[in-house]
Amino acid sequence: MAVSGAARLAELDRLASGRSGLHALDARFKILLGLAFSFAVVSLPKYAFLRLLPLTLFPLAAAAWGALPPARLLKKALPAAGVALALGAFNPFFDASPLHFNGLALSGGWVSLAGLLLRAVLVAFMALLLIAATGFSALCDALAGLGAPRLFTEQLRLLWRYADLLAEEGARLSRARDLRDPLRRSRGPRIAGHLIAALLGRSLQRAERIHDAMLCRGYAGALHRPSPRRPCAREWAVLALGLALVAALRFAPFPDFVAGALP
Amino acid sequence: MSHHRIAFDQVRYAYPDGTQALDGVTFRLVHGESVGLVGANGSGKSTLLSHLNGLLLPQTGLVTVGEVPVRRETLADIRRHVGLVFQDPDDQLFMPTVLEDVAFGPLNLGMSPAEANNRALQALEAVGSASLAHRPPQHLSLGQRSAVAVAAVLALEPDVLALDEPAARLDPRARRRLIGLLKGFRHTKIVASHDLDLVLDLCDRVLILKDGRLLKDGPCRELLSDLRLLDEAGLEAPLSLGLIAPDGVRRPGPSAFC
Repeated sequence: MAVSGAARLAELDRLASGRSGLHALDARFKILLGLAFSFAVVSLPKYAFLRLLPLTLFPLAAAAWGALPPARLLKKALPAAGVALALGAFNPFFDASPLHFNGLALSGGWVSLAGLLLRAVLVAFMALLLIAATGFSALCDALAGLGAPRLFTEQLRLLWRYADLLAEEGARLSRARDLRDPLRRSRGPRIAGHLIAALLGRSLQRAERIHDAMLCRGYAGALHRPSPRRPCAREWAVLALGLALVAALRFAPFPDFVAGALP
Repeated sequence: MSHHRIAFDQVRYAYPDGTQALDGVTFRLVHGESVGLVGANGSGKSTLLSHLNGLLLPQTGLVTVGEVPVRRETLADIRRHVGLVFQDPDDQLFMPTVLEDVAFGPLNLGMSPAEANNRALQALEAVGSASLAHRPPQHLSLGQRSAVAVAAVLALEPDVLALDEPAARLDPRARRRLIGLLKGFRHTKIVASHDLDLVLDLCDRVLILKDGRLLKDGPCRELLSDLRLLDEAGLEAPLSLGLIAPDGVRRPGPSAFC
């Protein structure tokens, strides 16, 4: 499982080396568009499931522009639905308020749960799209360019590199357990706890060695990163167009037969 | 002032758990020497290397690089002159691309980004890895990562190159390539390794450590042929010396006749 985790990160890095217009767009603008989209998604009322549907067009159009595989990104984004499910699993039980959709009565809890799942997947999809179209390190630089604290962006950058190694360490531990447990009897929380503790210990040791290696090469608390370039007029136009598209998808009036069913 | 010389004077270091990793180690390295550092696991090799550029500071005794004592206040200067290549290249390569990683050190020395990139490209050329400049380090083979890790240190243009198990986990061809690469450098070198054939190939002099003490310091070929000495140090003779017969019977080394 952990090996595939490392492979997933590697695939995002590989996708980020593309040469499309989306890849070339200033990373700060991509972040702004991603944030605007995410805000549009989460700002909709909880029963507004149908209003989310037009917004799905935005990341799909962006993926098409960047020649990025939407199905692969969607597959990677799906685990976010699991988190949302954990958060909203009780909605159908606690929220039984009826909603009417063109004469059909639906439970508000089920509609809000479906909306929560879709929102989580859409936001995760957009985050993965940003990484696949930009590269994680360039995103960290862009975040710093937008005013995020350097300490935060450097931690994020190292976390990305570290996550890869962490996945490899986890895979080795898991394989060692599996090879000595052909009957799969050691799947309980106690053994899982030992594995996690071992992984944490190894990770801390590696973090210490990485820090030592940085010190050996003159690190004094700050990574030197290139200054951001000035965006060109075309990029400003793409930003404006993108924001307008998000606003249109968020606020556009629905046809009467759908609008009549919306809260 | 030359920083190519290194002196250890009665250096002692114990870890917080009480393990005495170095116990009164004294030796000198002079300009251009290539010295092997060998010993069984736990003999103190890595601890000794960590003292070279102040990752660890002696609890008693003194380490000097050139004329500069290794102290907290001299670390910035010391680290410009002593480059340490770590055993696991993944510990050393943390930047998003190879070029950025190799340029990391020069940027920390205060170079402009253009100068640092030039220096990094030169270092990558020196290890035959210029074509990897824009690849993420984690997607390289172990042999490639080892070469890039050496480049990352070479980019600092150190006077002394210290290497901790440089060929560990490399396949034979990558190991041979790395040996060829290291042979080409005229730096003062100190190479800690269990691979005595590699030490024999690279070094004229060897320091043998045992339980944190310097058991013997002398010519590489002579000491690594001494089976009694090697046995005492918990080591075995390099295969390339042919001192172990194919049937596993050891032939006596020079001092076995004394």
